[in-house]
Amino acid sequence: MTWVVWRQHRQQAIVAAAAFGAIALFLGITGPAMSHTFHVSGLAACVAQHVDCGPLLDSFDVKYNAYQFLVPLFLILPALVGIFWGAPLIAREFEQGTFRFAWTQSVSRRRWATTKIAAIAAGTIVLGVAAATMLTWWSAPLVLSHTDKFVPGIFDLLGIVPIAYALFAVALGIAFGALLGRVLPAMGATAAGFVVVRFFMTIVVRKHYLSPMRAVSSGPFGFNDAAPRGAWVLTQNTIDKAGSIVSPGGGLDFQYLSSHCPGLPAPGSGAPGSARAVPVLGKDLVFQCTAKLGLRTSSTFQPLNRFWTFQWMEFAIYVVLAAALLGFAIWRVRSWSR
Amino acid sequence: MNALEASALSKKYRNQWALQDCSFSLSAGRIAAFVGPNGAGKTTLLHIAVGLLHATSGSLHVLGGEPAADEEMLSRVGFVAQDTPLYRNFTGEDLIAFAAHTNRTFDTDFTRDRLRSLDVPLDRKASTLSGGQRAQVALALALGKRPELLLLDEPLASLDPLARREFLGALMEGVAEGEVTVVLSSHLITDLERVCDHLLILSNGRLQLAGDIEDLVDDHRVLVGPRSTGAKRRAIAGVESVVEETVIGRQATLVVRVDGPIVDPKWEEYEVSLEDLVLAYLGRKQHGAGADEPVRAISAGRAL
Repeated sequence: MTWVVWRQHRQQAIVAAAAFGAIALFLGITGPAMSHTFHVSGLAACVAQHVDCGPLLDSFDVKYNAYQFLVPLFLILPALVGIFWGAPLIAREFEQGTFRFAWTQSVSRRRWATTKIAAIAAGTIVLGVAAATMLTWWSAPLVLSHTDKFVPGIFDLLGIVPIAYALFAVALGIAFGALLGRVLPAMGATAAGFVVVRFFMTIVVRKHYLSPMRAVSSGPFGFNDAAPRGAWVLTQNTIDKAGSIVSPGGGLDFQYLSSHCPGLPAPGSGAPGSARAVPVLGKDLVFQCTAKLGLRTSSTFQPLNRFWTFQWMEFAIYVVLAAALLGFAIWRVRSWSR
Repeated sequence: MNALEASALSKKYRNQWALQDCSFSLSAGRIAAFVGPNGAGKTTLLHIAVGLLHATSGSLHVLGGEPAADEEMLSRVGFVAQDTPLYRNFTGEDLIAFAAHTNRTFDTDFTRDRLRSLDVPLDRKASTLSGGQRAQVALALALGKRPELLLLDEPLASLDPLARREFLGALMEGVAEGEVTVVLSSHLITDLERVCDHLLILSNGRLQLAGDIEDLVDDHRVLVGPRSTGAKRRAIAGVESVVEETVIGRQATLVVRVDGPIVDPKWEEYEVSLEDLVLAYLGRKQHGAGADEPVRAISAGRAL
C-alpha cells in the first residue's frame, strides 16, 4: 500500500517539496544577513538588557520592515497543506469513481484509509517540523527586537504550534473530502473551516488556557506598564485610588480629569472626551492631576514565562482535533454505501 | 457451493427501492448475465456483491460468505465497475504494480503478457487509452487477481461492436481454464447470448426470470393464432402462463411459458429466440395498458 500512496500522491509531494525549497532558499539567504545585523549592530545585546533600544531598533526596523510584513503570510502555509494535500486525498477517489477500483482489490477499506492518512500525516509532520524550525530561527531577530512573541499572530508562527496547525488543516481537508466526496467543495470548506477555527481559537479561546494574572502599575500614572515585559496583555484599564475603572481600555479620560481637577479646563469645544483637548493642556497640569487622583493602570495578562505552556496546550488541542477529524474520515470511508 | 445466493435481497435509496425482494442462486462455474434496462438494479446488485453497498434487508452470500467481509474474501472476487474507473495518470505498468501491491496474490506476468498480446500499450497513461483498451486493462487486472468469481458491470456499454467482440473473446479465453464463475450485467442480451449459459432478468428492482438459458428457451414458445381466442383469454391447453401478447390485425402473437404439449390446432407453435424472451419479460410491467400499446413484432423462430 505504501508504494500505492507514493505513486498516487508523488506529484503533490514534489510540488510541495519545491514550494518548501523555494521558501527555505529565501529564508536561508535573508536569515543570516538579518541575524548578522541584529548582533553586530549591538541590538541583540541591548535587547538582552531589557532597556529601551530606541535608535538601534529604529535603524534595524527601517532595514527589515519588509520582512515584518512577510510574517503573516506564513500563517496561511498550514491552510495550503490542508487544501492541496488533505482535501483531494479521498474526495478525488469519490469524484473519479476510482474508489470502486481501489476498494475491490484485496485491501480492506480500513487499511486503505489508514495507510493513506498515515502517509499524508507523516509527510505533513516532516514538512511542518522543517518549516517551523526554519521560521523560528529566521524570525528570531524580528521577534526578539520587539519582545512580542506571545502576541497573537507571532505566537502562531513560533515553536511547535505550526506543526499542529498543519496537521489539523490536513485532517480537516481529509474529513471534508470524505464528507463531501468532491474535490473543489472540499477545498473551499477546508479553507473556510481552517480560518474560522484558527480565528476563534486565537481570539476567543487561547487567553483562557490559564486564568490570566492581574497587576496594577506601581509608579505614578504614565511612567510604567502594569504588565511585565513580554507579557500578552489581555485587558488594560485606568483605575482610581478605590480601584474603580475610570477609563476602560487604559489612557486618560479628560472629561473625568477636568471634573475632578478644577485647575484643568474642560476639554475642547465641548465634545465629551475629545482627544483634541490634549495639546492645549499643559503636560504638567495633567500629571499633577493624575497624581492627585492616584490613577494607575490595571492589567490582566499572560506572562511571558507561560509561553511554552501555552504552546503545548495549543499544540495538544489541535492534535486532538486532528485525531477526531481523521477518525471521522476513516469511519466515513468504512461506512460509505452509495 | 453457490457463487451467489440472494434471499429477499432489497436495497432502498432514500425513498426509492432499487432492489426488492430478489431471491436466486447461482451455482459456481456458470457464466451468467444480469439483463435489464438502465435503472433496473443491476449495478446495485453487483455493488452489494462486492461490498461497495450494503443491503437494506435480506441477504446476499458470495462464495458462501458475506460480501467483502475481510481481505481474504476480497481477494476471491474480481470486479470491473461500470465505465472502468482507473487512475487516469497511471500507466498500464503503474496499474499492474497497483494491483500487485493491493492484492495478496496477483499474477503480474500473466496480466502483462495478456495486455501485450492485445496490443495495449503499457507505457501510456490510462486517460490516453481508448475505451476498448481501458476495458481490456480493467479486465486483465481483474483476471490477474485469479478470482473465483468475476463480476463485470456493463462491460460492453461503452464499446463499439468490434471492441465488444474482442472483449468477450478475451473474457472467454481468460476464463477458459479454471473454474471461474462470471457474472456480467448488460442492458442488451445480443452480444451475451453466445457466451452466457445462465440468465437473470431484472426490471424495476425485481427479478423477473432466472434460469439456465437452455431450460428457459425450452420452457417458452411463441404461439400465433386468431385474435378472438386471445382476447377472450381462454386457457390454452399446455400453456402455464402468457408472458406477452401482441395483436396485429386479426392475429395474436403470444409468448408463453409451457407446461405440456400444445395440442390446440388453432395455434401455430414456434421456438422463441432469447432476445424475444428477454424483451417479453422486460415488457411485462407495461403490458395490459390497452389496445394502443406499441406493437412490437415478435419474430417467430423455427416452426415446431
